[in-house]
Formats: sequence, structure tokens, C-alpha cells
Amino acid sequence: MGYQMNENEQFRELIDDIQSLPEPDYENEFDMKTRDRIHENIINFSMDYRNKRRRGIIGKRVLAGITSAIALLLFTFVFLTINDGEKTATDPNEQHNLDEEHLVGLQGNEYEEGQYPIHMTYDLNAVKRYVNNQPDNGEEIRSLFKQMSNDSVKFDLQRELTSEEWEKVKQDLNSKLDILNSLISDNSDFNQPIHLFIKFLEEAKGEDYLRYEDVVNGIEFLSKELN
Amino acid sequence: MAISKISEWFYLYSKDIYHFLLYYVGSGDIEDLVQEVFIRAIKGFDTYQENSSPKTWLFSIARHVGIDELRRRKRSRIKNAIGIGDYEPTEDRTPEKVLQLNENHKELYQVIQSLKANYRDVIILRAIKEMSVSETAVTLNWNENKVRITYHRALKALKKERDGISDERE
Repeated sequence: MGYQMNENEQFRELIDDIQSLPEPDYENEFDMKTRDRIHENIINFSMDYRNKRRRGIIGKRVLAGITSAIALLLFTFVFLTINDGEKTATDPNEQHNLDEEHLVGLQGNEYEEGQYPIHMTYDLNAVKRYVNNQPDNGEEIRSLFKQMSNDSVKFDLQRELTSEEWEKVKQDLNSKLDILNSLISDNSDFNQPIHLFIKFLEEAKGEDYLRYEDVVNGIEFLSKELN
Repeated sequence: MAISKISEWFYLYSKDIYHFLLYYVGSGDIEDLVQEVFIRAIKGFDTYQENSSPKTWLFSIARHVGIDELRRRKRSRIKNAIGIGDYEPTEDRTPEKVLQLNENHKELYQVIQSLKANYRDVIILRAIKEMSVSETAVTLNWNENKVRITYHRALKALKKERDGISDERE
């Protein structure tokens, strides 16, 4: 400070001159009335500004809420789409089985989660293929039973079948019994296994409530006999 | 909170700010500029730090308001020069008239106005408003050494200009 004073001492006269420059005549140029008017303007502006800011903050919050909701909806949509895509497109074999389900008349049944009868549908399709193929020689029957045996690898049924579900299959089986019966005489090599299978089917025919597992076991037994 | 503080500061510092702006921008409606200073203070109240001095903060805003006003006037003068502006300088409220300056003061005032901006800033704050070095440093956002050096150089330049005018007269 002392240095500053000494440093500027040579300008002392000039500094004194500057400091002698007059202040405005506040009473005439910037009187109390003028100041009160400006003060009022400032207060009005301040209140408007505060309200505007408050509205802006609320607007921002609402906007953030809407944006979050849209983001959540988009995320849910994308997540569900990906999930659905994985369920329908990962295993072509499963897709095939689901398509086959229409053939055995199971469409329209409702299953609880975790009980979707994939294996059952598959095995039912094996039976269905058997009764629909109308085999006319021993070789075809042999290959068919092998195929049925291969197809029926998994017997872990989720539940027992109801009589309504079996009704259509049983009708199909009954309609083919005559064809199977005729094969006994035409193909003597296969008389024994086919006879056993027909016996099994005839026993099953009278049941209102048939365990699918029993049918599968019968097919398995028959295919072993043929081999 | 902001309203009550700004309201309090208005009655404490509005005269000082009027005085500063009168020397800073010269003629015109200084009342409007004082109002603008406090409106900017309301808008920027969130940036004010509680531990700093409201006086230096308001003077800092006032300086920026003054700079903006001088630029606006310069643009208006250019527009007028090319014939597209409608700015008319108000000669009835010049500092010479408002301050009722005598010949000696009028000459000194004009020499101060002719100095470059840095020198003018520091002369007005240090000599006219009699601020301390630290207050001036905060207001101008400089360090204290820069304030001291610039003030010294400003005085030197001012003396030289003033002596030059005196020599011409003689």
C-alpha cells in the first residue's frame, strides 16, 4: 500500500483533481420518487421472473416425466418384441411341433405356464402319422414304427390327457383298425407285433380316460418286437 | 430471498451505481441502466456468492451494462451514418450538464473519456469511486497487481494527455 502511495505520489495533484469531480445532484437527477419507481419496476419484474421460473421448473419436471414414460414404453416394447422373437424363432423343431398341434385337434386348449405339452404334442403327432399313413407293406410299417420309436424318445408327459383330447385320436385309430387287421393276413412276418398293437388299441378303445403314457409304451413295445 | 436482498441493495447502492454509470457511459437515461443492473442481478442471483461483497458484484454487473450500452450506441451511430438508424443522442442530459462541470472539470472528464477502456475502468473505480485495490480487482475480475499497474499507467497516460492539451492552449 505504502509502495502504491509512493508510486502514485507524482500523480497526487491529478488524483486530487479527479476526486474533486462532482457527484450528481441526486435530489434533482435521481430523486427518491425516481428511485421508488425503479424499485417498484424491479420488484414487479422479480415476481414475474420468479413465477416464470417456477412454471419453467414444473414444465421441465412434466417433460422429464413424459420422456421417462415414453422411454419405459419403448423399452418394454423392444424387450417384449425381442422376447417374443426368441420364443418363436429359436428352435425350428419346436415351431414344427406347434404347427403339428393343429393336426391332433389340441388347438384351443389352454395350458398353464410351464405345462405347455411340447413333448406330448410331438408324440401325438407320431401316433397321428401312423394312423394316417395307411401302410401297405411290411417295410413301410417297420420304418414307420422305427420313426415312431425315435420320435417318442421323451415320454415325460406334463399331465394325463382328457377324454375330449383323446376323442379325435381314438376315432382316427378306430377308423384304421380295419386296415391294420387286413395287414395281419397280408404280411405274415409282422402278424405278431401288429396283432399285439391292435389288441392294445382295442383295449384303449373302450377307455374314456386313457393315459397317453400307456399308448406310448405300447408303441415302444411294438417297435422293439419289429426290430 | 432474492427479492428482499435485491430490494435492500437497491436502496444501499443505487446512487453509487448511478454515479458510476454516469461517468462510464456519459449521456442518456442512466435511470434505465440502473434498473437494468438490478434486473440482471435478479436474473443472476443464483451465481452470487454469499461471502462476496454485494457492492463489487453489483458494480461488476453495472460495468457490463455500461459496456453493452456503449456498444449499442456505437451500432446505432453506424446505422445512422448509413441512413438506416433512428438514434438521436440526447444532448440535454450530458454529464457536463448533469454534473454541472466547470471548464477545468469538463476538460478532465473529456480526457478520461478519451482513454482506452482498461484505463478508464480503473480510473473511474479507483479515483472517482474511491474503491480499494482489492474491491477494484474483484469488480474488474483482475488480480490486484494488474489493478495497481494499470492504474499507474492510466494516471500516467491521463497526465500526459492533460499536459498536452495545456501545452496546446499556451
